[in-house]
Amino acid sequence: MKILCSRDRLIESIGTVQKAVATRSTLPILDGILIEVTDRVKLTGYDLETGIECFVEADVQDPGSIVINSRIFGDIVKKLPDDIVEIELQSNNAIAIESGTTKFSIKGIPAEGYPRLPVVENSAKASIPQKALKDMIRQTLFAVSTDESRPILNGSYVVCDGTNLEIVSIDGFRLALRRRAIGKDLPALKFIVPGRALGEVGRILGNSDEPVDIYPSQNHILFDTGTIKLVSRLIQGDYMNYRSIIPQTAETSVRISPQVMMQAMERASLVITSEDRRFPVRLSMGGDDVLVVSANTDIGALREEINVDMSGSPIDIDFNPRYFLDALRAVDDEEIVVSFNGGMGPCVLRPVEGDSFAYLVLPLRR
Amino acid sequence: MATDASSLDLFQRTGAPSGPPASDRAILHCDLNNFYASVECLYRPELRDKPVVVCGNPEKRHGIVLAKNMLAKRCGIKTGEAIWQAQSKCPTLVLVKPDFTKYLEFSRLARSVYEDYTDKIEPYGIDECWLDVSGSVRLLGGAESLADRIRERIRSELGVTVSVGVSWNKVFAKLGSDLKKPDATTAITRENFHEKVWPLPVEELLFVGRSTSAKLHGIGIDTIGRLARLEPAFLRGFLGKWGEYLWYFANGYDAAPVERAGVEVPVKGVGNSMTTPRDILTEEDARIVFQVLAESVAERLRDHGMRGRTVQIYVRDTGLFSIDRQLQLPSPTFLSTEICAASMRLLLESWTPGKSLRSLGVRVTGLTLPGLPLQLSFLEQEAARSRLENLEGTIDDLRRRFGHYSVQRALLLKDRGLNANPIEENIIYPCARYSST
Repeated sequence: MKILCSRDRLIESIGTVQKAVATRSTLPILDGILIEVTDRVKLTGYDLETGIECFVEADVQDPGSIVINSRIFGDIVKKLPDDIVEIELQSNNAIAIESGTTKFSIKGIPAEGYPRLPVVENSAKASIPQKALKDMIRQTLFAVSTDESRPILNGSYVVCDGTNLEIVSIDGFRLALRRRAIGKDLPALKFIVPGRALGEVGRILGNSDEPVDIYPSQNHILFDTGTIKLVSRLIQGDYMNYRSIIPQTAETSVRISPQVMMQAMERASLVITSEDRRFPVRLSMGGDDVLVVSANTDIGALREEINVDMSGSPIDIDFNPRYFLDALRAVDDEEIVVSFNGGMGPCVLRPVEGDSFAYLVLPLRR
Repeated sequence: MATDASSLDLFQRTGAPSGPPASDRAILHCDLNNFYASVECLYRPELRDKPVVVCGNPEKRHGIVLAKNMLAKRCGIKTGEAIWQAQSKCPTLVLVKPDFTKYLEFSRLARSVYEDYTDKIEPYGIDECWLDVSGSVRLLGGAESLADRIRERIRSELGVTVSVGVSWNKVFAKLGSDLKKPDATTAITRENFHEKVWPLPVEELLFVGRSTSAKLHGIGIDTIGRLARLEPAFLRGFLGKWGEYLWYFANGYDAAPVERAGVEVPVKGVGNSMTTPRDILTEEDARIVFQVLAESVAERLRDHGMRGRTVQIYVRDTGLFSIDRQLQLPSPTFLSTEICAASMRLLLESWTPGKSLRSLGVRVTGLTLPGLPLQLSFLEQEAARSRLENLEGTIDDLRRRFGHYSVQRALLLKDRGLNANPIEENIIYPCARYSST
């Protein structure tokens, strides 16, 4: 095995596949990156849950394959002096990495022991513009649960009905839903992708309308951008019936600028210093069309009035401001409708028109 | 006691080592002598000239010495040892059952005497208190004479005796009350602490427990004076953050305030454990005991207005081998139903029914601040949970009015022997349990 390639391209590709390399694994080979050279050069990282393959442009002089420790490989390539890197497999699994007058020789592990990525066999593929999917992931991923006692909620639910794509995340206390018309005649899909893998998908996608091809199968899903492939295990089981928890009516509705509301919540958070103490932010009414945001904690207090367009019964409800901030940061609209359903029901953030998103936040019970 | 008070609070306000402040505080530490035994002897004068111990009920397998009088002490009897050990040292020993309502009443009476001199009173266990009398010393002619007056009043008004330590900080005041017993005043001043405190064994210093003391002895630090002369940086490296605090204490740089009467030190966890009258053999036995304990823990949590996320259990088998296990609940609770269910889940992960158990304990930690609202969840049956909270709160009210046994779960009728009311019947350990004596 012998190749010549650009150092910066190599750094970029290593960085991409490293996201899927296991850390502190009991199997040393999983701490490595698989380098496979045929007529092109492919790098692979795989922690048995998520696998990423990335092609590197290179001048192939001799095919072959080897596994090299991911951290050492990455650190070395970043420090190389010259823009051109030569990588050659020598005897006894030693890998020579040469650049300018520098020459490293690093121990590798034979590629035969490296686990194969699952082969996703499916003809039904959905092609989606990269930027659209990237945005939808960013706008919903924060609500994925990290509580391992409910594995179903450790992933996002992705549904396609043929024209619309919907992504839903729920952590028990809030829900994030995004919906978008993607195209026509797409296959009907529904699957639960682990939050961590979906986060990586978001990172490898570009801000262009170039498509990413999605191939779901029974147990795995493949995202393919052409240069990068990501395979992830799917979470098995039935997702929560989220439609039933989104209220269709509202006791109180407020039209408000999400930026204004976000800034008020950020200011309230300044007096709520400790997360585990659960000091709430209180939303109440201060007369006609005035929303009062207030917080009263061990270090001090804040009170702020926002002029809004308000209808329905008066409110006086406590919330965790972080849940509002996450949702408000994911909204680009000029104005949104925030509806309340009493002290026990969820608060819903929706667009003024359409159904492109819904963010639910449950209150704190006094 | 089962409720943890945060002793760390004391450290956080430790004063920096600088010269003596313009006006020193006057702190008293009052320690009621042989408290339980003294109270019992007061009620039964015929016992006064006999060796007496207050101890748990051996039939319920609570048979350890909780307190002793001076005569029993002279026989070498130690708090915490088993009754048979004590009896072998002193065959004429009189055993008395504890009556905690009596002790709590006396504790309250003593406190009402202290309250005539200051409102800054910090209880430390049932029989000890710190008093900050800085504000009243000048009116009453100096801290020592004030201490003498308190001793005199406790003796004549309550009929028991108290030892009082007087110093400018809490740690030395506590040390002083231990120096001369019974019924004595010991003053530790900036002038005399080198002679009075520094020659004492290092384990006499507050917060030097068994393991710290062993570590210090291991490097030849056997007196408080030697500890005081070490480099604080060395102690920090050797014992961690605590090491540096101990150095501050040994040198009298303790600026921790006496917490005002009525101000509670934050509770960190609430727990109860029970050594059962008979061995626990079946899943149902365990469920009965956990239900009793969980109800007691839940009731106390509700009293504090707190909920907890972490449930811990303590299990001890008949071979006296014990384990602790814990889990996190999805959301904080003060419901006995949820605490009991979590406890059973933990137990069944590490125990097979049939293997006999002797004690079980339940503890809830990871507490929320009292009165703060609770995050609702889509995953919980919030309405049902709220109803359950009302139900358990109502049962608390009923029990307050008509007694603990007025309302009981049907499960507990299956074996009345395993039932108990830990809140009122449990043994309240005197503070001495924590010190080396």
